Amino acid sequence: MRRVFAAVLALWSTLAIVAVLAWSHHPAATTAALQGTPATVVVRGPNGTSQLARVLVLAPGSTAVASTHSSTVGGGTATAATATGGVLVPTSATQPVATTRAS
Amino acid sequence: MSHVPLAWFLARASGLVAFGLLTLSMWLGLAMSTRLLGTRRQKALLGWHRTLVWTGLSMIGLHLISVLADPTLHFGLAAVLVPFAAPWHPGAIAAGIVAGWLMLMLALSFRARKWIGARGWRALHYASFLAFALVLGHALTAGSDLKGVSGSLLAALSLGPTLWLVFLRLLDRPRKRLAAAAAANA
Amino acid sequence: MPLYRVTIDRSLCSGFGSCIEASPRLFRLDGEGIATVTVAETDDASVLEAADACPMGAILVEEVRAA
Repeated sequence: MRRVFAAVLALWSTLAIVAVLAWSHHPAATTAALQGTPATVVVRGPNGTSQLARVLVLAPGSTAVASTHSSTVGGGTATAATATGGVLVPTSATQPVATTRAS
Repeated sequence: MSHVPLAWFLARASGLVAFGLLTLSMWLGLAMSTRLLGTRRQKALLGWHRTLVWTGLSMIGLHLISVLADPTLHFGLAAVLVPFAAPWHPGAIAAGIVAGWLMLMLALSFRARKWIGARGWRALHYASFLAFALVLGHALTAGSDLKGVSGSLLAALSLGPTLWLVFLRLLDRPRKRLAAAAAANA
Repeated sequence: MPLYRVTIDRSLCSGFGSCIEASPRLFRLDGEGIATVTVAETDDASVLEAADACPMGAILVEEVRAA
């Protein structure tokens, strides 16, 4: 009886911990995916302007969001960056931009 | 649907449960040798001590199978059975492997008393302290769930009562009680 | 007074010493760390307590003469 009790207790404890780990697994994965790996790219504007933008390359399986602005380099006007998939974080602006998916 | 690393979760969970069971078993063994709960409870203590040891060893078996089944770790049999053969954190894994073999030997040594003698068995049993230290080291260095505060908390919760019981054991309460009883009956 | 015959199963005894604490006059540890009885038969009732205290159940107490 004692062995049965100990075995049942051990198995239930294990399953409970597995459940907790599984439950806490998804939110952590999403956050990590959104953070991604930063990189700096030069985005060429329509008038020959160059813009520096920080791109966050996300893990496969993450979803794209949307895009807005990037900052300009050496004058010129700011233009809306095309949402090809990456997170464009303006180097001096404050608005976040799009998300991307790593190939 | 994102991938759920079930084998990895099972490895972590079974490792934690095994640690808990074996720590508890050690406390019961020390409670026996210090006569902490009196002489009448010795039989029950021994029964639970042995049950928890074998249940803990079974959980270690589950821990090994889960690690072997995990597709990310790529651990082979040698990596989980031979010290320093693991490709990831070999030192930390070796501590767990040596502790596991020690615990298995200690559990089996009880059945080998007729060959090694009661004194030999009792001397061998002191290796349980080494096994505990190695298990704790393995948990803190290889354990994914024991970084930072949780690791310190686990160490405190497991070491605290252990050190207290060892201190009681060192005070040699059983022998002093025996001497007092013998003197009273002289 | 009942008379008790005490025997120890040496294959079970592991030298825990609980019997000695319960009944120090009747039990001792030999050179191998195994418990032995000092007298084969006794009317000392503490022998029952010693048998009860043994974690391995290695002590057998038989009542050979009723009270």
